[in-house]
Amino acid sequence: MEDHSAKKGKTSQYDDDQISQLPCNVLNAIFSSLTMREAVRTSVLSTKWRYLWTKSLSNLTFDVPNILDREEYTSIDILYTSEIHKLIIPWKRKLAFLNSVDQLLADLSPDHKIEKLKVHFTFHRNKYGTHLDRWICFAILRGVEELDLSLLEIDYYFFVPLKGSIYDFPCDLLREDGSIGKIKSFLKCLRLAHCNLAPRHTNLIGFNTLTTLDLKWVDLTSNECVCNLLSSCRALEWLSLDKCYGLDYLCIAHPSCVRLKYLNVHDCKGLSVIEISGINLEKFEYKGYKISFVLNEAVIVPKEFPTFSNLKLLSIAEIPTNECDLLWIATLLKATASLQRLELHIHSNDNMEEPREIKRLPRCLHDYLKEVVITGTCGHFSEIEFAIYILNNAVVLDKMMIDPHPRYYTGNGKWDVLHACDSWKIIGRKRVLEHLTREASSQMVLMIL
Amino acid sequence: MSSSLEKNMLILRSSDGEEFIVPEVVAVMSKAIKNMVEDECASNTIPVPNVDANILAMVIEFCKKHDESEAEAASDLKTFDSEFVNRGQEALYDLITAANFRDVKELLDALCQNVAEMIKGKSVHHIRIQFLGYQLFEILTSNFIWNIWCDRDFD
Repeated sequence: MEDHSAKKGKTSQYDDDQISQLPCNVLNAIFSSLTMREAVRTSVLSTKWRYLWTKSLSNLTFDVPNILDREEYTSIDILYTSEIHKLIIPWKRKLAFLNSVDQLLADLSPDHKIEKLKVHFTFHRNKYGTHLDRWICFAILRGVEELDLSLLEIDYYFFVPLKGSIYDFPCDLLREDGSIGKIKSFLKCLRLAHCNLAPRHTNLIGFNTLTTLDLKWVDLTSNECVCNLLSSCRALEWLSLDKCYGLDYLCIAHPSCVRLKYLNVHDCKGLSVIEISGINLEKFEYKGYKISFVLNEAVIVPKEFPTFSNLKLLSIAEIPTNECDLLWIATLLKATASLQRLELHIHSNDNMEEPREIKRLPRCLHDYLKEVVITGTCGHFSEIEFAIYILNNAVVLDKMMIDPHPRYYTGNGKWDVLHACDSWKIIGRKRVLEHLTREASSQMVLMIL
Repeated sequence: MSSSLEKNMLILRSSDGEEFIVPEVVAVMSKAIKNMVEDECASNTIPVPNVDANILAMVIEFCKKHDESEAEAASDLKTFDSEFVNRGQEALYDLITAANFRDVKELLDALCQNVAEMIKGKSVHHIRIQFLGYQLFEILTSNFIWNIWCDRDFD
């Protein structure tokens, strides 16, 4: 050991590698494309490199691959042989994590700016909250813009922790009279998962600069806390509540969140009413149980229906058709006047309805539509009605293909093709053929597979 | 000379006095030169101090390629970039300094990426050889001599 350090001392006068002498902005760029672990590891290269990372690292990522290196700590499987191991290993693992992070923060140079702090580690209980508070405080004092805390490494779908047992996000830090309230916060983006966000007071000035708030599996505690939170987020543009719980009445009302453009509410357990008043949203997505919506002077879709004047190809996937009207697509077609090819990927079951009258829409000509592909058809009347609408209104239509095999989008431009529904051969095909051949003009190709 | 020059050509003069005739669209890929041209404070000859002819030629080669191949496939450009930046440490350092000083964003990004690749996934020993490699021999020998002298002193 002594020998080693002595050698190091001697070599230091020689190691004038040029990379370490590059200007700060270049080193920042180099370090930002490394993982945090790789960046920190450069400190052992030479004495010149010893402190370079402490001045150049602006994205802090505290997760298992970056912080823990011993194999027994890196896997989260708790399938250890003995009961005692089940208790000791997670505990030791947590301590190792906390120590490494504290050590790392102590090494950072004091006037250094941090842009992003990400913590991804399992803290089941609030026991280690003081450490997290300290890290967050540290980052905010250094002008952090994005905070990303995810305090469970695996998303247990049915996991809902006991009340009060999870980490409380330290809202009080960001209050006007809070411990660091005097310092200007630069926080723009806050992403939280598996913790508790419940401000007990209003005027959290730290949230005034926030534009993005992304909450997942977050305990929002009560409607009142959400009100406190939203009233502080004056610059908020993007809000997502994914599987959050603890609130039953979400009210987004003028004057808080006046700049909100995007709202996403996804599977929030217990939520029964969403009220939006006086806010011009550009996009609002809701997924979950049936709830009531109260919209006062709120404009959800932009005032004019958007038109896509240059769109040539439109592909719509996973459309349900049973007892649903497909004629809404006709409205969409009006907005896409120059469309040439339309693909509809239908996704329905084969409960065939009894024969009924065909509904017809008023005429509305589509001058450019040349090709229409409809997949996953079962022979429902809604599908036939839509196909007839196209045949009657697309004046230059060359080709219409009706394919019973459903297609599912798997991402990256790839599709999965499944089997056609059973009733297609028996009833569906016959019915489609019978209705469409009457309507098709002689110049076009109608393919029914 | 400058009068016979085509309208949209510029002359860049390196620190050691060599002149390069470059189309303006290529030269303005450097933000610093672009600002000079836009402010019209540049005559036809633009001095590029701190950058010698050798490095300037490389920078121009890079910019020309990037200017021409806008329509080309992005993957081709990527292979060109990775081959271009794969140089010895000294040239790399000079190129980075030039790109940073003259503000050529594409080149600087490619170079920084290359340095990062030299660190990524390598052992400390390997990185040392890459960054400090050309001095290793010197270090070893100097230590060796020092050790012998020490030993002698003890004798």
